[in-house]
This record gives sequence, C-alpha cells and structure tokens, in this order.
Amino acid sequence: MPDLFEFLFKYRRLVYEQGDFVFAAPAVVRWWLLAAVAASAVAVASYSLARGKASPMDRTVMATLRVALLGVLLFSLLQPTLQISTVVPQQNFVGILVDDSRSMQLPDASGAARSDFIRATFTPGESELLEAMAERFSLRFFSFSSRARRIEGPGELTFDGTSTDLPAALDVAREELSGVPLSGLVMLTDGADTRGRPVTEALVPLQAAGVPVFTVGLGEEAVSPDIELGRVEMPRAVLEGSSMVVDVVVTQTGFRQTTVPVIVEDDTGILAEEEVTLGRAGEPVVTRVHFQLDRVGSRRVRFRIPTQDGERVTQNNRRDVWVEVRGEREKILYFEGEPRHEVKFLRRAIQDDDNLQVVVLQRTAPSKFLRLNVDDGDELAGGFPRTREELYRYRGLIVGSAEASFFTHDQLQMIADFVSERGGGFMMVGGRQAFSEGGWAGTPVEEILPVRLGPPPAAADRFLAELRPGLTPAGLANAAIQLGGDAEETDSLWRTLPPVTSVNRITEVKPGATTLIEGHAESLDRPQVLLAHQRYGRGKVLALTAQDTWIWQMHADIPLEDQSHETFWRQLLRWMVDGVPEPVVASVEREQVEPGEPVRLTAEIVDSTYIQVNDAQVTARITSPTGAIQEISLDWTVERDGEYTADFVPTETGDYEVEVSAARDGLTVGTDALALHTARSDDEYFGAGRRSRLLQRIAEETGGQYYTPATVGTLPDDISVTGAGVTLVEDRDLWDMPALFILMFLAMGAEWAYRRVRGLV
Amino acid sequence: MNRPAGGAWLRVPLVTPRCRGLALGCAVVAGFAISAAPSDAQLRFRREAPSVESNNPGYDGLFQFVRLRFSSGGGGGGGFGGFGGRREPPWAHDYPRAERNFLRILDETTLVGPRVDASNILAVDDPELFKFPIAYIVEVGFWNPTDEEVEALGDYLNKGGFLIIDDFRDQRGEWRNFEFQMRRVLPGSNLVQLDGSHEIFDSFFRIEHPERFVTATYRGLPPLYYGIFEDNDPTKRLMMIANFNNDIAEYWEFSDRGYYPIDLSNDAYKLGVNYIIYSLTH
Repeated sequence: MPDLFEFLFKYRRLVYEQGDFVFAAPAVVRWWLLAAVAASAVAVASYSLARGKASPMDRTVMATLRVALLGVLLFSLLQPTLQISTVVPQQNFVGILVDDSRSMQLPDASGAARSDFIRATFTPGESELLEAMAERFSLRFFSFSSRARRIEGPGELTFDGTSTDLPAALDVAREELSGVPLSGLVMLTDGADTRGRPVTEALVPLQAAGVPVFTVGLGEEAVSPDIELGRVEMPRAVLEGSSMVVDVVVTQTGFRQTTVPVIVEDDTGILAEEEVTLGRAGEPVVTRVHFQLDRVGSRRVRFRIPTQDGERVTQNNRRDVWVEVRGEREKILYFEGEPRHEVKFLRRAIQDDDNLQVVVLQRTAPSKFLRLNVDDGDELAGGFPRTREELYRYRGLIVGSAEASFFTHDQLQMIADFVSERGGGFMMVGGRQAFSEGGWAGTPVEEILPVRLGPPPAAADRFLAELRPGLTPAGLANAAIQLGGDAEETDSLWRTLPPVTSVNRITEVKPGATTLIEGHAESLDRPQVLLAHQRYGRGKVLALTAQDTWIWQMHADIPLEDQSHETFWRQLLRWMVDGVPEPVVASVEREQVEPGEPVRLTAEIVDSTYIQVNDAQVTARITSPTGAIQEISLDWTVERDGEYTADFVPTETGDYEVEVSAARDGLTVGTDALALHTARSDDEYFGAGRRSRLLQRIAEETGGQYYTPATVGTLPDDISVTGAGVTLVEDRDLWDMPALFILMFLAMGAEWAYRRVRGLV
Repeated sequence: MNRPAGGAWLRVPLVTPRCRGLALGCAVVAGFAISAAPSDAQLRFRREAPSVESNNPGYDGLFQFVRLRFSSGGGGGGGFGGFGGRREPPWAHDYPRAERNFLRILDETTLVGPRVDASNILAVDDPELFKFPIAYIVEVGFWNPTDEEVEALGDYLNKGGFLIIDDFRDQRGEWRNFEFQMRRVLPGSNLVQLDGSHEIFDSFFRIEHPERFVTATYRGLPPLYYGIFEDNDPTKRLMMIANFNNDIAEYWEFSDRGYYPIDLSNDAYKLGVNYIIYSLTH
C-alpha cells in the first residue's frame, strides 16, 4: 500500500529509507517543551487527585489519552525532519536502456505487445513520465539486443534483435556515460537474457561506481497457454551409424496432462517420434528419444512439437541442433593376454562396422604374439607399444586378461597418460589376469580405473560367479548400452540376457564413477559391478568385469538372429572413443550464429605425444556459402598452452566450412574441420516470460529499484532521492504529516467519547 | 595375413626350437602316461570304454575340450551307420587319452590355460554345447544326425561356433556322407579345400605344408583339409575344418606310447594347437 503510506507519512517509504531522521527544534524551544511536560505531569496529577464520580480506572484511561495527546504534540514541536540527498535538477544524466529484441513483440493476454508500453511511455511529447524525467535529468537512450548501442530516442527501436545480452548492455551504457555525472540507469526489458553470460560481471563495476540500476520488467511472468521445447542435449559430433539417446526437456503452461508427440527429423525425413505427457504448469518434463544418424557430414536435426490449439508462441515448439556425423574409422588396440573366446566374438561383433577398426595384439604364449587387423607389417611388430607416439596413434585401448607385470612401469604410466593426456578411451576386461587378480592394484593404471580394486586374492579364494545383468538408472540413460528402441524395451532385453561369469570380485566404484550394469547372483550379498565408467583427465575409462560376454551371442536361449551382443560391443566401443581429440581440435562457441555476428574460432594444438605446442603456424581456411574463400591466421592466446584463436565475421546466410591446419617447423601437425551455420535465431522465443527475479537482483545489488508498468510512475522521484551524481542535502519537514494530526484527533476524540459513555460530562 | 612375431614353422619332418619345446611337451605327456600304462605293446588298438555326461565338468569360464556324441542311425542321409567291428561307438575313437594328452600340450605351449583334468562329451542338440564354442567330432563317415541335431549344429556354427572334424577317409563312402550331412547343417555352404597359405596354418605354428602330414593308419591316403567359410566368403572366418584322410587324434592318443615317430606326434599337436588358437581369435 505505497499510496496509503505516502498519505499518512507525507513521503514514500523509499524517501524514509534513503534519508536520515533528525529533530530540528532549536534548544530554547526544548526548554519550553520541558516546561510543558512538567505542566502535563501536573495535569495528570490533577486527574488522579480529583474527587468526583470518576473511578480510578476512568481516571487512568483519561490521563493516558491526555498524555498521548501531549506526546504527539511534543513530537511535532520538536520539528521532526528527514535529511535527504537529492540530485540537482538538470545537472545529472540518466541512461535509459531499452530491450530491442524480438521477444518485445510478444503480445500479452490482452493482445498488447511489450513494445507498446515502451512506445507509449517513452515517446517524447506523449509521456508524462518521460517529461518528468526530462525535467530533472539529461536523458541518454540505448537500445540493446545481441549488441548495445546509443540511439537518439525510442523512434529508432525496431524490436527485431535475435538475442538479448543484458550484461553487455549495462557495460556499454556504463562506459558511454562514464565521463558525466550519472544518477542511474533505467533498463526496460523482459529480462530474457539469451546469451547466458553471468550478469555479475557487469554489476560489479556499477557497484564500484555507485550507479544504481532501475529495472522495469515487461511482459507476463508466464506466457500461457504455451508449450516450449526447452532443451536438447546432443553431442556435437558422432560416428556414422551411432545410436543416440537424446533427452528433450518440455515445459508448458495451460496444457497440463496433454499428450503431445516429440518429432525428430532431418533432411531425409522423420528419425524418431516419442509421445510425452506434459506435467504441471512450468514443470519440466524430460522425454528420451532414440534414433540413429547414418549420413556423414554436418547435419541439422530438428526436434519439434506440433503447434497446439491456442498456443501463444509457436516459434518455441522447435529446436534445431547441428551435429557432425563423422565417417572415420576409429582405431582401437585390443591387447589380450591369453587366447580366449572374448577376442573372437568381439571381432565378430564389430566386423560389419565400417567405423571401427579393432587391432588385436593377442599374446598366445609367454613371448609369442598374434597380430590381427594391422595396417602393415610394421605395426606392433615389437609387441605392445613402447613409445607414446606408437600408442597414441590409437583412439582407444582395451586390455584383456593380462597381468600388470607383463608391462614395464613406463608402459603402465603410458597407459594412464593415454587417457589423461591424449584423451583416449580405455577399457579393462575381466579375466584371470585382470584387475586385482592380475596385480593391477598399486599401478598407475589402477589410478585411472573407475572401480576399487581389493588386495590380490589367494589362489584358494578364487572367485567365480554367474551374474545376471541388470541396468542401473544411469545405464538406462546411457546410449552406449541401449539394446532396444526405448528405455522399457532396453530394460526388458537386458533382463532376458543369459548370465555371464566373472572371476574378478568388484563391488565398489570410485567417487565420480558411474555403474552402468550390475551383475546379480543369489550367492552374492552385494551386486557385482559389471560395467562402470568414469572420465579421467581428457579421456574416458571403462571397467567390464565379465570375462565371457560372448555368452550373449552363443547361449542356446539366444535366437540366431539376435543382435544384442553385436549391438552392445559396437555401441560400447563407439562410445569409448567418442570425442577422443586429435592433434588439432577446432571449435567455435556456437555452431549457429547470426549473419554479421563475430565468431571466435579456437584451435587446440598438440604434438604427436599430445603435449601442447605454442610455436605452431595455425591457419583457418573459411569457405562461405557462396564459395568465397578467406584465410586467417590464428594466434597463440598466451593464457593457455596450445590454444590459438582468431575472430571473423560471417556475413552471408548459410553454411560455412572451416578447415584449420597447423604446421610446425614445416611439418604438418594436423588438420580439423568444422561447419558454421549462419541464420536468424529463434532464441528470443524461448523462456519468453518476464524474468522478475533477475531484474530484482540487478536493482537490489546496485541500489536501484524494480518496477512493473503499473508502478513505474514514481521512477523520476525515486531516481531523485536514490540516485548518484551531483546532489545536495535537503531537509524535509515531518511535523505536518497527516499521521500526527490523526493521532492527536484520535486521542482527543477517544477521551471525549469515553467521558460520554461513562457519563462524566 | 600377418605372420605372428616369432612364429615357428613346420617342415615335415623338421624340428625347430619351438618344436623342441613341443617335443619336450610330448615327453612330459609320455611321462604322465607311462607310469599308468599297463602294457604298451598291447594297447595300440585297445580303447578305453568311454563314460559320458556324468564326467562333464560343466562350464566354469575355462577353455574345455568338447567331443560331440552322435548315433549313427538317425536322420536321412542314410545308409552309412554302424562301425565295423569295434566295441566303442565311432564318435568315441581315441577318447579320452587323445584329448587329455592334447590339453596338456595346449597348456604347456600356449597361454590358453585349458582345463586339463576333464573334458566334455555332449550331444549335438544339448543346449550346454553352446557354452563351448569349439567342438570336436570324429568318424563323420558314420554320422547320421537327426533333424533336431542338424538344426542345433547349424545354429551353433552360425552363432560363432567352430567345429574340428577328424578321422575319416575316402573309403566306404565316408566323404559322401560327410558332405551330405554338412549340406544339411549349413545349406548352401561350400566345402573348400585349404592349403598351407590359409592363416589357420599360421595362427600359432607355421605349418607350410600340412598336406605332408600323412597318417600312417590310413595307408598313404593323401591328407586334405576342407573348410566352410562364413557366407562362403574366403575372407571371413572358417566355421569348421575337416581333416580328411587324416586322424590327428590318433597321434595325440598314442604320443606317449612310442608307436609313432615323435615328429609326427609333434605335427599332430601343432595342427590341433593351431586350430584352437585360430578359432579363439577368428
């Protein structure tokens, strides 16, 4: 009730908050007042001592009311005053920042757009608010969306920006007005920041400079009815033919318990469709979509929900995600310490997968090796790699049943570095010589394993258990071990697989590791960890404790046409080497940008041993959609070893191809390619409700105020008393505020009424 | 085809350093057996009566030898049933001494780590067979499987099983029966003759001329090796290998008796070891 407060106390609450309370009465008056107090005491005494019809209770009540009256009078005579700093008219500047993005065109329930308020309230000559501000301040206007710029007035606004960057807007306004006395910044926006940059970065300098920000929140908190396809989590690059499980987050208002389809499609047609039943208003619902990408190249995958009747915003029903479908053949080294069926069946499982090459180094006798799938006669001719250059040629490494003592300490360290530095994928497969049984505890490789190894068991305590596999919740959500078209089918298929055996008793994973498959047996008090993984350094580590997954292929209960075993290994190996870096890794912050929006191209360069190099010559060859070629150099950033950057501005709409190559001492280190897409963005239509909390926070942290269109009328006065800039101290009398007169009237009236009721008059 | 690093070659008769190790292995086998042998001179054709399933150790994760049991009077290929004059069924020839000796050699020369104290005898249509992806069968000239057995063996091989066929010859229509039954098991498959260039003869020992391994008991019949490739594609895995006019288990069985030259016993073991290593890796 700000109006009532102002009526009773003469000024608004904000004035009281900003001012200092003092009594302004001169000392001589105080002496008189003291005399008056003494007289009041006498009067009270007379009430008490008088003899008549009045009872002691009556006299107490009447004396109290009379003293209260004298108290209020005394308070007024002391001349209560608020001392407040107010800006000097026309001596200060105020920056007015107006959101110029597309979301300002969204209509509210009445059909009025957010931009209508700006036009009505900030058009010169038509707005009392603007005139009131212009009387006191010199106004400077800024528009902001993806970038902020100074404008002459609201007439230059187009409300067509495709993103909103609140921190950048505050930075630009602060810097532009840094040379003038600034009373504050006024920011008119829905608060829907689409860039996601922390706003704190922009608030700290404002706090230091003492510049308050007054925010005006436009639009509704929730746009209703509406369905929004909020978030899609997808890797940037996948191997051709890889199965994918993508989480899609859907939120809604006004469509509770409605079932809608989530459709996934690319240029070739529909890839998948999943029904999702929507939850409560504002509550995100996650649905999981399974599909496969088969064609090599940069692919746009669209997720969409058909527009429902009555939806207010239709543009937020779809999301486009770009993904690079890679056709390379991933080379994996499988070292197996003893001849066993697992090698054969793993090779069979992936034999039809053109994207996987498993090179087998099979130890058949203590000093005898069999090499399979090697590229030439020299590969692995000396046995297991002894140098990093040799090992790092592979993107994945599997070690089967081989004792740790087979390897030198350098080789063990090299395996650990293969994961942590090179970023390769590593898997240890169960067997007689794997894990603790193979003496791996205490080695550098144990450090990288996701499971805890116990002490080596005594020969008499040989463990052997038949384990029935079951997926954990994390396993159900992991694309690598999906056997069916959806989670239910996958769960069901895993439950029907026959048991496998393990000779490595492992029940615990390390902190940060995840168990994907558990093995259950009635004889065991705790489930066995059958498959676990964790990230280690730049790479990924898996522990598969079963020794005979080939049972999932051979078992009599498994139909001949069943593909569970093949699918398991294909997907697991693809996942193991997914995202393994090459010597040159090029990236951009976002694969899709606006035409004309600057893009920072980053490349990370390492040598053949995956040590960052800072003296490489790195160039990017950029081919525009129309075929124009531009070559730019990338420079070492100095802040990070091996990191090179360059900025460029794509001006055309369409697909850009970027090829980054690095050379050192005249020798090529490597190349990498990426695709960049330029198009108008629909980001502004997502999360399009007013972000009141963010705007309140900006105001509170800078000493400003938060308003809505209904409360913004006090903005000029508020800036006057809370603002910075050139100010003077002003005394504001409080003795004449209505509240004091009302109190005196009430005290007198109450005494009179009491006397009437009690028959004392 | 990549030759294994440090792989040994077999030239009959030729003893390489690796072969010497194998010969030593034969001696070890002989040592085990001689102490238990009652009368060498009379044992040559005296076979032990085989006991069957009750001795099967069951699957325990280790490599185990599996011998297939069959009746010779089943389904439709007909007419070759029976086995002239011997007391034991044809599938049991050389059992159990052959596999016992072979498993010891396999354990001595490789890291397979097989179970050496027992082996399995399984019917072709026994579901347990699918837990052992390598199986051994003999005397297929007298093999006459039922339709159920044919189907089960077809599934076994197509899923990834490997079959070693031994001890049959070009007499009494044995080849015709074998060929007929294999076409029942793997319809549309082709039996392909293999020579020493195939990698199965280089998977552990280098056996350049397997055709020179002549079985004494077959009186000079030329030994031949036949296989069936997955999808009839020679670049893919062998699903089976047949030792035709050949009987390597005969040498395994009597390697500790001194009836055959030690080099021939070595060669028989080498073929067996190579078959096992190949099938474990291909």
